[in-house]
Amino acid sequence: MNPAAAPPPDRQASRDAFERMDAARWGQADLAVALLALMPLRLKGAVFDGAAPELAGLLQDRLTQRLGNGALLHRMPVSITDDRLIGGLDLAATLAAGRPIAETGLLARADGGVLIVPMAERLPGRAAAQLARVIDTGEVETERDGLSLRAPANFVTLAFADPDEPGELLPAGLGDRLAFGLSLHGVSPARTRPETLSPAMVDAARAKLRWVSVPDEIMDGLIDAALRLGIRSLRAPAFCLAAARGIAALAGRDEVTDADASLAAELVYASRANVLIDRSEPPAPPPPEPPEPDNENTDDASRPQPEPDELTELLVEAVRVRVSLDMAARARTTRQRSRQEVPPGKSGDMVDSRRRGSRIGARAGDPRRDGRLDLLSTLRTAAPWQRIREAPSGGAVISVRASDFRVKRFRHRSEAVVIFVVDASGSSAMNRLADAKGAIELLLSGCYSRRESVALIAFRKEGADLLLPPTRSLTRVKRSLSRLPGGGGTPLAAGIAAAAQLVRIERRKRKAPHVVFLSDGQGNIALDGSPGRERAAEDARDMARRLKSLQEPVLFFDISKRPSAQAEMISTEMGAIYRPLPVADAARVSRDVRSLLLE
Amino acid sequence: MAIFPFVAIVGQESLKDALLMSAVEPSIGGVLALGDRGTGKSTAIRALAALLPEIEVVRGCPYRCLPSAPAGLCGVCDRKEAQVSEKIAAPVVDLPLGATEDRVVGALDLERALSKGEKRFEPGLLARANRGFLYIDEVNLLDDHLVDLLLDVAASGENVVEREGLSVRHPAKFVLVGSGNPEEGDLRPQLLDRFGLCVDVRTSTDLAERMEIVRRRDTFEQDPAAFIKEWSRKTSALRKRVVEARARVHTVTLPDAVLAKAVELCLTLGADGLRGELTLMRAARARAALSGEAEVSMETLKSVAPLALRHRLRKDPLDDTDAGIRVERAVSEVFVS
Repeated sequence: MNPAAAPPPDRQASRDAFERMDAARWGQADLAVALLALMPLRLKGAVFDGAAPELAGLLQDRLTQRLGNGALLHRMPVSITDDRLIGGLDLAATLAAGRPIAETGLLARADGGVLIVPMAERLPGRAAAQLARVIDTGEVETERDGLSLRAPANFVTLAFADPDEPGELLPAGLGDRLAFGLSLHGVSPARTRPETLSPAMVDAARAKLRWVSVPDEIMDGLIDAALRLGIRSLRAPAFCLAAARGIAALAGRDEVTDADASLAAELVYASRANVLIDRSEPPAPPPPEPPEPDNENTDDASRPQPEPDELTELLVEAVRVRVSLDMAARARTTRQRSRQEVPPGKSGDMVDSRRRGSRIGARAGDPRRDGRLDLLSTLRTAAPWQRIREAPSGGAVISVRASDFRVKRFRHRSEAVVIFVVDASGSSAMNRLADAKGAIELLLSGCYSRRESVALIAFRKEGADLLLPPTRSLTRVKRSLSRLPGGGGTPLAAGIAAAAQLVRIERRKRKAPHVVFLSDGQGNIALDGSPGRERAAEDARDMARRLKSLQEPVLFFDISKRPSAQAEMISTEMGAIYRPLPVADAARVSRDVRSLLLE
Repeated sequence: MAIFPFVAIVGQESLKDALLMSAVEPSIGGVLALGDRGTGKSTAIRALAALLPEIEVVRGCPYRCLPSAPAGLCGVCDRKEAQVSEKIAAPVVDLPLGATEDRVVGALDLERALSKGEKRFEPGLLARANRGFLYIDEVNLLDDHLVDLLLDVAASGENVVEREGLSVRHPAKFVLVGSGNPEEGDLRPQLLDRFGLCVDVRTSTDLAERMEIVRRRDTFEQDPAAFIKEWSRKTSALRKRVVEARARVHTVTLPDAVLAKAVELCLTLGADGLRGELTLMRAARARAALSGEAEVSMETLKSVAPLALRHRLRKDPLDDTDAGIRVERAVSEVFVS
């Protein structure tokens, strides 16, 4: 367990291999940044997963150097408010001047520069959607607080994410709008080699760029490969095409080669690929065969040109290899990290004041008693009376009376997330999962004005899986729960641990998590995946206490035929409300969740 | 930023149809485009702006009044003798997320009030969208009360403002277009059926079509101006079709037999209320006008049924069948007899 201990000799070889791989991955990240500097308006940006802070800093610096023209870095904190992001009224200046004065938002200020989004996986959907729109249109439109402004906003976005759970790094379609997605898990800053792509080289490539051509079969191959990798969005092949051109230009070529295309595919498709195992898909009809291009200028002119289908296969394979390497690297680093896990209740978990939420208007009130003053509404209320009121003393511009005070009204949006944790082991798995699925659909379809989201964790075999990340979309639930896996042992402890982890993640997003267990409380797989009732029970108890320490509401449905002492004990340990559920009944689960947890 | 030409968009026929029908017959009640990311929903809607025929307005009027029928709300329209009319591009107003209510509906002009003590109404986005389109991207992320408000105004064609001691009523006739990805949060059902047409936008999985889409996009990005020019003849041809269809739409007749089928179809589907039938008929008329027909045929009715009805079906959480398929099934049932 001591990471400092020297590895046994037989591990040395694999360690060397990892180092070479990491150096290659860093090289790709560096290339991505060079491409962004080369064609910022077409490629838009990149998402980096698991980058060490030093690497993030290095990538940012290289990007600004290569962009030239004194491009600046602008950071977008995840907690940014609308007025800071897209601009609004500058209150201090407005009061001082006695007339509305606009304040430029972050996105407009970033024009011509670089926008950095740290902890991008926590970016709220709304902020992400605003950013996505500006990336699309290259313009910020502000319609706020009596102001109506438009400002150009073309910038390169570098998002850095390090989610606890693998999955989407960026919310609400933002990732789709940035060309590259690269994993830097485990790449140590020591392994970065000196810069090979100097700003001067990027400038030289820029001059060359518009003369670079893409052979038809490479274009077709890239588009075909995207489809075969299960990438539906059409932005991806467009990015890939542009990136391939850029790679050729950086290498001083005027035609894109297979190798350029393959590299571009890794950079663009790896983070987007959906289909990894399913190779049985019938291949689409091959496109009409184009004439052989004469490629005298290319490096691999000596090599025979592969057929279009072969090329597609090559591209798909390159991306698959990249994805599996990234997954291996991720697994390696998360293992290291889990050894030094911080105990629950660390400061980062503290739930922010639930007073935030979204503003829904203003009402008359006393700011000392009723909350935050809405200055703008207050001024609006006072404005019509200025003529008839006495001029204020002490040089103030306007006269405000107590009756003018308006305070902000917030929607208390500590949105509820209901996390279902379901025993999917053994023979009863299907029943139980169907129950949970039914309850989830009933909950979601029943909520009209409410806006809860749900998540589903299933535990079976050796561990627990997040089958459904928090969502409130019935469409998505139906898609992802249509085929539910089941069977094997009962890793109850792992299920509880996964629930606790998700609770912490959701709290950080300022959501209010609720946990619902469907289990008989009888685990037989310990936390580390080894069988054995005793260890399993002990681990489950420990995890239950940990969940309790998070102090979020938990509901435990005992699914044994007869209420069992074991289940009741574990339910008590996690501080849950205990409910026996001897027969499957989705409607009751949904009803109880609503009445016991949510209301 | 250059706008990709509407006529150069490959595929997405339903969305293009729905937008064109709304351009011809605004009373259809707006379009909701739901579907995957990266399908070009926004592209199509923003492209519409460059396609629509210009409109004649009173110069300087913030409400874009028609010179022959000014609303008389502003200083410009009031002075009849001083009116100058001009042609401007039909407004397609893109509602930014994060827009505050005062800018959407309009509010007291704060600067005037503070500096001159003058109580004046500052028109908002609803005024700007008058006689055009109002587009909300990611409509499922917009605050519900704002969506409610927009749908109310879109339905009545009038914006009534009662705030800060102001009492203003101005025309706000626009076609509301919303888009969103249902995987990122469903729209509340009450809002859903208040849109006239609903389009299910899917990314094409046809390789040849995808290649054509990416190629065109790539050519556009390489040199937008040249690409737009290349398509300009087709753009003007389609624009002409819209202008002609607008002139014709109110003379398109609806035979009794077709009307009977429309009513039967709505009954079969349990598409509640009158709204379904009305939308179905208006959409069929617009479609007929666009294709130059003098009366609505059964075929035309069939073709618009999924767009007009798919979002009005009673929700059955246990039936996974796609709504579009349910409508088509009902269509074949009703038209067999």
